[in-house]
Amino acid sequence: MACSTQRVADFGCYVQNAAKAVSPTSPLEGGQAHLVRFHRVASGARGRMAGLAPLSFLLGPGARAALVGPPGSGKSLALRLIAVGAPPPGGRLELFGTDVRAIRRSRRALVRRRLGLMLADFPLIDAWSVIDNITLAARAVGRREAEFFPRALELLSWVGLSARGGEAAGRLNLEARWRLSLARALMNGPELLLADEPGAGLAAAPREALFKLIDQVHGAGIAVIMALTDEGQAARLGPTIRLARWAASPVFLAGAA
Amino acid sequence: MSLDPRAWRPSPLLPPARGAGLAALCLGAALISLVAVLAMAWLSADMRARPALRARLGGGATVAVTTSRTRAELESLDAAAWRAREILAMSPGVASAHVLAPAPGDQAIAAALGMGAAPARLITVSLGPRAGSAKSATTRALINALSREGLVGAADDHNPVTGPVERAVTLDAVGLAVAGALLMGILAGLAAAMILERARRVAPRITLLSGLGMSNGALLTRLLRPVVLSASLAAIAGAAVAMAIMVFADPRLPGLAPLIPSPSALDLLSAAAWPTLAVLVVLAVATVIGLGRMKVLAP
Repeated sequence: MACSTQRVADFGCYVQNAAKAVSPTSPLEGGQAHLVRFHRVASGARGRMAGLAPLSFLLGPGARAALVGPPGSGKSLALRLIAVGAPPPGGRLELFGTDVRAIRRSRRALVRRRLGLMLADFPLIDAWSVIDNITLAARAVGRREAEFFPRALELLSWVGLSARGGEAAGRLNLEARWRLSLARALMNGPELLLADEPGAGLAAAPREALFKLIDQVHGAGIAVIMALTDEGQAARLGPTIRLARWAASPVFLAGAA
Repeated sequence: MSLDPRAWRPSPLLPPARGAGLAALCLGAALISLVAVLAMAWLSADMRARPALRARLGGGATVAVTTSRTRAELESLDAAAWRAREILAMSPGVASAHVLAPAPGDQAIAAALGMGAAPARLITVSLGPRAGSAKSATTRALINALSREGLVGAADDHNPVTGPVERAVTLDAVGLAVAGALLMGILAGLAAAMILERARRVAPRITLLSGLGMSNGALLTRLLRPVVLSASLAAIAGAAVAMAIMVFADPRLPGLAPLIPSPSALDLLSAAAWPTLAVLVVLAVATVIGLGRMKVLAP
């Protein structure tokens, strides 16, 4: 379902007309007016990764949006562009109010620390235990054990894996792996959660349970962008940004109220 | 499996180096010890042997002197030698002259200098600039000075020897320097291969950690750490081996070939400098290659 004015309002975001949204004079300044801004961001196909037709959208703090399109339309690539934080091949990408071209390579890590990733490019480590996987995110940014361990236990409990903390991630079933992936993504208290086809491969019930957890994340004020193939699922979650394979996409703005 | 928080120990962020590290460590130690010994040999040849040879062989002359036939009945050989010493000592370009005490080999040396079978005494002359002369005296000037005073002499300033010897020492020094540089190159290549192999093995983990917000500096440090640690251990072992070689090659010890002239405590200390340089080279090469890999693995 396309992002309608009424529907966007329900989710605390707003829509302006597309022309104004992409106008260079758009009032985007003022610190962190938005978390993500795509301005005609495009990319050719890379290896097995699909290309991305020029895409524009804006996501405000605490907002939620779904990138919807058929396989090969560039949903995963769009999420990866945000996760990497490097200048896209085409167009302009802004993260947390800053054009990524102005972010030095050595500073990109600081941007990534504000993201929670549930992407295939950043998988779980199968040989490691559940607790090792969760705490990896905190250890990667140099936090102390005394600081992160209690939070890791809380997250473990929240995703329902308390009893399996010492188990190797490779022995978990798919549902538990998705939950573990969500817990790891939230370990550092991100401002924006990126999820690529969350719950893919799950039956309806566990998938619904996972989305309820993501609902709670959003309810806590964390912005969420999900890439989804299922339009019905996407429509229930919030504003949708449609991507078409190798075609110019419509332009939407999604932001917090 | 439930978790025991008290027993939990975090897994290493990057996998540790594999078993091939020991072989690389031994190879590195051997290379570094060779570099240290070669470097010391190069310094000995270039900075000690060459100047010493130049000073000892080029800074002096040996003069064989005898009386002329016309004065033979008027002046003994000893008196002629002492008079020659005075003449030579006063000649321009001569720093000092000394009559050598007669020794069994003198006649053979005098014959070699061109005196034939005539009885002769030997005088050593230190050549060098002195007041009144900007240059050292030549052998021809010394013989002419003796001849003017009725003495017959023959002199050798070692010129036929010093040239080839200096060229040989220079060649040795160049050869040793090239060999040392080649060994250092092999060491750098070994470090590069180790870093590339490690980067290839841990590539997915680097991408993951980078995505989770780990800084490139921290990632690079963890990527290089095993290689630099191996190089440091190899350097310590290499320095120890090099020092042992120098100590046992001391010419004062009987029965051992003097590989390096007069090793001293300073030599032994400087043997540590080359392994340190080797570690710095390894660190530089590893950093350059590591940064290159990081650009690909952690954009």
